[in-house]
Amino acid sequence: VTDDLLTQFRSSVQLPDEATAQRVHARATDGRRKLRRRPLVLALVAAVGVAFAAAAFAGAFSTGEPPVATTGEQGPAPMTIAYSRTEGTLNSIAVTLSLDVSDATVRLQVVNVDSKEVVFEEQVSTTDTPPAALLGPTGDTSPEPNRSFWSGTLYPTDWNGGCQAGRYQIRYSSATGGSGDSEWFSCRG
Amino acid sequence: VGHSFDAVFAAEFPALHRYLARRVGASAADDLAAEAFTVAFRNWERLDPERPVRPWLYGIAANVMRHHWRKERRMLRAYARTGVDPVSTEDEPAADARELAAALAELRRDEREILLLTAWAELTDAEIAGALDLPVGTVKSRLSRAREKLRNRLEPFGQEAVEAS
Repeated sequence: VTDDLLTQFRSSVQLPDEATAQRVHARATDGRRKLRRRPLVLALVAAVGVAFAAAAFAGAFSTGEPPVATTGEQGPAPMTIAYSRTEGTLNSIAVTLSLDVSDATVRLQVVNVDSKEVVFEEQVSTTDTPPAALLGPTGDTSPEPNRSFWSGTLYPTDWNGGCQAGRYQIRYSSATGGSGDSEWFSCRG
Repeated sequence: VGHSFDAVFAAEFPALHRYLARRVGASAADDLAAEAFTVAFRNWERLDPERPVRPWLYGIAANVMRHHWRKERRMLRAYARTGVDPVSTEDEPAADARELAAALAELRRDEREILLLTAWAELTDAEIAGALDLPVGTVKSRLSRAREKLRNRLEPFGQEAVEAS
């Protein structure tokens, strides 16, 4: 029976331990605490955004890891990034693209800023489906005209050379959806 | 299952996490389960109390997985190619596991979703229909098609036992 074969396949994968359950529960419910503080968060985000824009405009900013951008708590940006770290080492990066076109083919790259080497590259397609954090109670929502999305997770273990101590940057480029870079970030330390 | 979020989390998280871990590995499952339960938590007060929670949760998880199906396919293909499963460290994997991985990688995304919701999440056709917002008939036909593809792929390798259930 097909299902019998499937039932055996990867059956050694274990249930998560209690520590994982507690960690995930904290992450899930932390979102609610943020939502309850939304007016304050929005005010802070707006204030920080104005300060960033002013500083960037004046050329006062150089590089540095940006604050975690949480979808739904600030206005749409073409690329938002959330880092997941353990003791300073990068585990994964959640990337969300929100582009001003209905559909786009996007080249996504991770670049080692110091060596200029592209350590990871993937071609992705945006769709009219917003990322999960923006979805309704059943996980779906009405398509937003002339806007498309892609969301995924990048893992340093997939990159050439793995997680090094140098500086990295995420780039996206699309013929129709424009292009952009993240601020640089470190993978370790 | 009680209807407080904490009670549902306690009851459903282990199985949901394991389901996701079997698909894309434990590390990614942490993130995906957190994302799924975050969406669930944010919409908890809007959940119809009459609606079964489990299919609703797996529906959210399916939406979250939508953005990871390429990764899943890549891992299945890697297993089929190398014999080393990036997801599981099974001591003695079944002899046909690599062929099964290749067959799963070749399925359409929606077929794989329905097949694994049946085999690993143990949802009924009606629950899958509720989870994916599809007619039950569509679920049945896609499931049947997915099983047939697996059967056709595995039969040449001596899997006479593989037949539609």
